Amino acid sequence: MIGKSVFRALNGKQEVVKRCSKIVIRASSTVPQMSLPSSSENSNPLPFFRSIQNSPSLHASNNSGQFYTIDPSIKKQLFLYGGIPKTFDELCNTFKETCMMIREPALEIMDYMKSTNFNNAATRYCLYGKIGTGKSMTMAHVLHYGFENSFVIVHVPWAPYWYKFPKEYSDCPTKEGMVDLPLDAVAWLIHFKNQNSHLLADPNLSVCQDWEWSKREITKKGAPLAEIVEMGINRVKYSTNCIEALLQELKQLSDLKRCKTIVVIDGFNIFFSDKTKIKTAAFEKIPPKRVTITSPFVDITKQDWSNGAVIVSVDDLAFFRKDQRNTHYPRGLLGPEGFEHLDPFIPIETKNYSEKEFHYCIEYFLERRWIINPHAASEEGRKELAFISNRNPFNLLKVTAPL
Amino acid sequence: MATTMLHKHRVSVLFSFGRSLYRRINVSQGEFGLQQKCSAYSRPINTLSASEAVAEIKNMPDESRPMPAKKPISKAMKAYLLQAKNYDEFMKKQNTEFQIGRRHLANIMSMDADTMTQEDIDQAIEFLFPSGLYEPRARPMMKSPELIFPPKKAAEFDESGRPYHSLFYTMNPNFYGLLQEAVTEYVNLNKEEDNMIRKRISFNSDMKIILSGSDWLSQEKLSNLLIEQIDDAQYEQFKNVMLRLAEHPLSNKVKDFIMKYRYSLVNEAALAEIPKPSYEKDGRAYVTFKGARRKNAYADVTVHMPGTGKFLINDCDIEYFQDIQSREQITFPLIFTALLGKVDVTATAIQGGTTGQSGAVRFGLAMALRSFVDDKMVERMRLAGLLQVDWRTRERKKPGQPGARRKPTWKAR
Amino acid sequence: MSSLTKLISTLARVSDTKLALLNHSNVQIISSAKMSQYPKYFIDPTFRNDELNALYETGEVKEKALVPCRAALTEHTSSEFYSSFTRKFINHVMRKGNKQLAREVVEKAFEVIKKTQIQKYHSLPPEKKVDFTIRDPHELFHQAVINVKPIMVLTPIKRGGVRYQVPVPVDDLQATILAYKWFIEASKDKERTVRFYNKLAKEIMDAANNTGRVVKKKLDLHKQCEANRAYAHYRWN
Repeated sequence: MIGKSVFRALNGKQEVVKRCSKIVIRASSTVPQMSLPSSSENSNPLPFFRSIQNSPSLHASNNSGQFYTIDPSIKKQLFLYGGIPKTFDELCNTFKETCMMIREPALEIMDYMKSTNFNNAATRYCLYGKIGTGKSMTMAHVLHYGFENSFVIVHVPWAPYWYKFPKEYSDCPTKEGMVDLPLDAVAWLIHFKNQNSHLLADPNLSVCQDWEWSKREITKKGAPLAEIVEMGINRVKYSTNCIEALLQELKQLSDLKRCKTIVVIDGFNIFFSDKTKIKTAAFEKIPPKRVTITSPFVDITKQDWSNGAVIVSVDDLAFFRKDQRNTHYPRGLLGPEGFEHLDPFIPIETKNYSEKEFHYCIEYFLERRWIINPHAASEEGRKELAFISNRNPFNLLKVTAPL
Repeated sequence: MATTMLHKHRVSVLFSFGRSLYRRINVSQGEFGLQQKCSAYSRPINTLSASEAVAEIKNMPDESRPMPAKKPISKAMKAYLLQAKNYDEFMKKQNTEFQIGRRHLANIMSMDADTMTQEDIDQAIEFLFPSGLYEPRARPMMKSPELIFPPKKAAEFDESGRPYHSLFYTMNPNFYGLLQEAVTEYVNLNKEEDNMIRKRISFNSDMKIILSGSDWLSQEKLSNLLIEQIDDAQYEQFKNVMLRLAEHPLSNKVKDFIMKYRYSLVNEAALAEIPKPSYEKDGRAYVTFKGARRKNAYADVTVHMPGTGKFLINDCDIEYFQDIQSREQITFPLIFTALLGKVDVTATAIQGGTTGQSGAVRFGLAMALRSFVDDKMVERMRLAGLLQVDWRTRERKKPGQPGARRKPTWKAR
Repeated sequence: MSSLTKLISTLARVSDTKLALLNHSNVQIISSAKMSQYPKYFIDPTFRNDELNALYETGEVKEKALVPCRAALTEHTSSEFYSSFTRKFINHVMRKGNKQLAREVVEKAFEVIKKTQIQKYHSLPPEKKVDFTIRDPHELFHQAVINVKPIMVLTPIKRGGVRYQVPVPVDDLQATILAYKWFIEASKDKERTVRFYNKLAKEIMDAANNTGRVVKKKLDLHKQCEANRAYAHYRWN
């Protein structure tokens, strides 16, 4: 049984085994004794719930349910300033490895992206699902895919942070009635720089037009894109303007086929809500559309550019608790305005674990010693856990935490 | 000595050496008395009427017993005897009225007067005289006079003032007579035990009475039974003596005697019938339990078997309950009966909060699962506390206090 | 797992014996609650499978068959993940009837205990991993309470107008309750930024190793009892 599933995972490719066997020897020492049948014919020492493919581009439906490991250096580059959910991150620190499950929604998006005609307008994907079903994790997976395929990454880890816990806000000097989030904008630019550090050196990424920040500070046409980023980081006053410029440039550059861009925004529905914690100097609470940082990100999710992809997630948790709408569907969460803006999009639903995924997850937890209680490894124990957590990924984590 | 049926005024003759006979003189017709014990030293019991017995005693030419001097009966004695006689006559009259009333009622309700039971009478009265009163004892009733009028002791001493009961001067002859009887039984049991040990007959647990499932009569009930006021100390004494008797290894022999003073604790859950499952069109068996309650919540639970472990509450899955304790409560009956994953559960819950609704669903689920499980498992469920309605509700706030128990802040002055 | 740890883990999962139960088969099995909405003759439920099986084996079931039984409480399950010992502790941690929060906090503390162990385990080289056992937090907590339970306690006894601190033996149940109380007190006494469950986890792990502040408290108490040996006779005057 185990031999068959591992064989399937390898797609019968013995060469891959040989290539990966060196990387994989470290993991072999942690093969558990408890419930796993021994791996038989194959020389592959990985247990059946682990995937050999650590590269998202090579993930296929036969990897579904398996865990793949993200290299620490990639994790540092991509997710240093956010992107991996906090609870999961703590778990990764405990297990000393970052292992994500390969699930259907991510595979679906990557599949579409592989077969998209990038000459057309940028496709928009909207991830939706109940709380704890893996929207953020799917986005992290897709982000990794984009990174591997040399996309320029525009990533907002959790948009509501800007509106619920702003670092600092001040009235915008240039636009009347708007409020700036200067420090948050700088933080985002640093995040962008970190994620795209390997691409910003590319000479193709040069500015298409002049950008005038003030009388003396101008970024000329043909300058590297990195200059705008540096400008925003160094001059806090112009950070939001830099973001606007940057995103506009990326749209143009993608159109000109000088780069391809992937836009990943988590908690997109907050942009169309009514409330924030941000106040004007006159202590008036304002909606997100009056915050300057909103518009560039709403703009880049439009369909007026090509050679890119936009992946957005809608979550009820993005709203303030009192305003939560108790629905997980895009229409309800985006509201009429947001839906108009995002329509047409491809909806991708994230669901609770299937039986197979649940089984693999439990096996992974057992192997990592997360579940110590011996009853949880038994048939009845698993049934009970499945029933109580309803096979919801987040709930399963919570339920197994004290066990 | 053979047992005899009590007639109207039976006379007991005194015995010696503390082997006492006690009887309860009941004035009503048709009541039979308790079994009597006679010893070899006793005189024969005569079934005579009082007047006859008195005459006999007077005329008895027994030298050992000196003839009482012919004294005139004292006024107090006369009054006492008159009172006893009046009571007898009163009860007789009430009885005839009752019988006549029964016949009338049978006529009205067109029932057969001879086969009419007390239950029928009660139902008829409830129908004819409907009452909105809460207290059952205040509602109109028609019962035989013995049940309505409190029983009174008959003449406790004869005209000469000589009490019939040997323990009369204890003021509670029936009570102390009972204790003495218990002691007698105990001594007998001891003798039997000695015999058994001598003959090397082994003891087993069947010879000892099982007291569980019943409890001692309350002080009030015991008082009514013995027609005497029993105080707290006496009640304790009674319990101690009877318990001592019950703990004897051969106490099953006196089971009848002990059980007279115990009432059985009704076990409703065991008596309740387990419903048989109905069948859907596709042949699946299902059972619905309606009206499961916990706190302010009501739940109806339907269980389908065979199933795949689905759970629906108010058309949502188990995530309807967000806290883990509620989910565990619902899982409890399923794990206990090992039917998790083998049945489909559909529930609707209204009112109440999280704990109330999940508790109601748990109870409903357990009650519904009884039909799919064998008797031994049903008993196990009962012992686990799954088949008992949890009557605990929020305690009301009392006037003059801020809460149910909280009192106003105590001030020193 | 070694046999000792197995024993401790089974102990941790076995419910507390009812101290009020008398062994005599003829005495009524009554519940310990005095003021209750149930009549007095209702017995307490046995919802753990191992206890029920024991009843069947010893034949106690026959007596219980004739008596009605109370409903199981909302915290009771027959699940193998249930530990009555931990539930008792959760009740003591609970404030203002907020059972949910108390449970979350204690379970979070157990999670923290588990995480520290797992982190250590995964940092080890493969050869050393075999020797390292990750102990169940419930079991660790049980061990911690055993280490912290005092045997004697000082009670104020008034003799001749003077209140003496007299060393007095304390029974098992009271000792356990004292241990719980000390754990909670120690976990509350912290800087504002430190979370209760983090502190509790640390205290439990220390106590399981017979170190730390709660064990110190017990040892100090024992020392004081030893010092006040002279007043011991005041217990009986």
